[in-house]
Amino acid sequence: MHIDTRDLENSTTIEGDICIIGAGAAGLSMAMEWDNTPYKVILLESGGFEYESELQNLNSGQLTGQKYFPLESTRLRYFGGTTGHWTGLCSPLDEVDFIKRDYFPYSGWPITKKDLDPFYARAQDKLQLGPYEYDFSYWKDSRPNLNAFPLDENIVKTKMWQISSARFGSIYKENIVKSKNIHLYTYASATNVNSNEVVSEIEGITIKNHTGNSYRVKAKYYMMACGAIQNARLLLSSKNHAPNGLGNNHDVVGRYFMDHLDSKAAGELWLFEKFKTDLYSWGGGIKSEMTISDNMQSKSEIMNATVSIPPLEIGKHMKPLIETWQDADPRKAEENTENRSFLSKLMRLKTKVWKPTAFDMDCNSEQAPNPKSRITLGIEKDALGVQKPILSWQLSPIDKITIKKTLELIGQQMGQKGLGRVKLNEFLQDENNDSFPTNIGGAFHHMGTTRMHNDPRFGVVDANCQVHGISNLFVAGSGCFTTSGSVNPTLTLVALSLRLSDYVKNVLKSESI
Amino acid sequence: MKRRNFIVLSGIGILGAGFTFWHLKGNKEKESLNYPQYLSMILDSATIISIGLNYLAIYPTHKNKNKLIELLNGSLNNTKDISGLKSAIENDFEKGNTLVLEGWVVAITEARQCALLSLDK
Repeated sequence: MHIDTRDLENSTTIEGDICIIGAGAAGLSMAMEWDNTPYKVILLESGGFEYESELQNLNSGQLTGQKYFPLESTRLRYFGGTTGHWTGLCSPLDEVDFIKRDYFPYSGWPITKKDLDPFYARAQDKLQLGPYEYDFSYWKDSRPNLNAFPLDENIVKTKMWQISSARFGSIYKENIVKSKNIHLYTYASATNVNSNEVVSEIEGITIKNHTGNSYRVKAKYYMMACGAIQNARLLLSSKNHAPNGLGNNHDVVGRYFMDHLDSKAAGELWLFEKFKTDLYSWGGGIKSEMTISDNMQSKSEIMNATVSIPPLEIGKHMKPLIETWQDADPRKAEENTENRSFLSKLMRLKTKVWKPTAFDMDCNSEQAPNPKSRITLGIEKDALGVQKPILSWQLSPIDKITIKKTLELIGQQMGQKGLGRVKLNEFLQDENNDSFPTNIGGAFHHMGTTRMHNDPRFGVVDANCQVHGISNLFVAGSGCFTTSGSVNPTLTLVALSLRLSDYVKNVLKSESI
Repeated sequence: MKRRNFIVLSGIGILGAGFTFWHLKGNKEKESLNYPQYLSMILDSATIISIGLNYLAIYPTHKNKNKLIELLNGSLNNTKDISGLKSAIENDFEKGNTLVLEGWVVAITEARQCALLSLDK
């Protein structure tokens, strides 16, 4: 069922069993799990069904720290969310990503990869992907041309992605609109989460739109799915009875903002001879990159990273994304990157035909959780009266060490096997310099602002994604990631959201017994 | 300089440069202590020499031909069998006996070869 909130009378109260705030990848994944159940689901979406500048501008904010993309361009604010223009890359986190490592500050999830595996398998369906298979050996068996460099897999292995073409706004709209128990409210921006006086329970959500009206939502359980930045912003803004914002007794909300570091041309790989393979390019719904094994990461005291190898001849014509994606309007920003998209296609074709021997090494790497990397609230307010966010993106020395060591390990393997040599980009050569150049940017993967940890001093949500101390408030999405791993977050955030959805269902069922 | 002489001399210069380039690049068969066989397949002489100079800046006590030859022979277990250089280099990579010089991740053996070449030049 669909209701345009703008058609409602001012001060209308909307009631249901659960309320999901946000209809993007996380929100829609959860909502679909509740279709055809006895429960009334209130699904709130800030925007409509299409892009609108007025709504998109609600994402705007300030930037400090390492150079970043304009905030309003990094997320889409309409039904379907950022799946409206994503690249579709899906891969699960590695086992090592969940483990606490002494050399890696703030690492260690309260759950394991095994805990998430059943939900990863279900997430594959939501994202219209193939089987939950990400071992290189599985794909190699079915596609003989996928030759990996003959490196020691105990040191350098092949990381696989599946590529989804799912645009949630298109594929789930009909189901949601026709559902009897899911009530989708568009033009319903949550502006405040209202708790009881002792801040132990949520009593309702205030929603507003550009008509100037406000409304109230009341439910038994609330699941915030607005994205890492907006979830943190909403918690920080909800100060009726919590002066520092909800879930923020220990000043953790908004902190530990992470993105993956996109280091274009972090190095070069020069082979002595042409190497015949279809592996290191996109095609047939999959893609792959080189990565360091879990054991070797721990032994080398580095985090996770993956390396792709576009041909040098083409790579040198591709500007880093942080330079091309600088328009506040995401549609214009995307147009400015069309050259990259064209060059990517050219690269795939040329790689197949021309078999180059010199490559850029583009590195996508993990960012260490850094409490100084954070979302805070500015003084300026948006059109609905909510304080705008300020992102201060801060990096750490281990972020750079990881990139350098990853390339070195690949270089050592290439040398040991007599295949070629690796050259590090200049910014990696000075061991005493921790800084990053401005052409190293993020990857639009917002994580960590409401991180998961059993100890409320280090996390906003517990292992069930419940906000510490608030019995009926949950957070969904990549904001809950304790650490970032090195792969695109969508598959994992959908898996986590499905797990959360199951948990709330079980809670509701047990209450009715 | 007369134009004809200039043309002749330029031609000789070009041939000479090409010979130098050929001398160091793609000549897979040539093996010697001061010939970094692998690197010469992908790098020009100027870069190889820079790598050598970089090595010597880190290890100034090795700025001596005899010392470098001694170290390189040590990599060959003093067999003086030049064909063992390839294995020595691959062993260096396996054991992590590598350096980053001019940005290149190189085996210490081949770094010493570059250093020896730089002293020759």
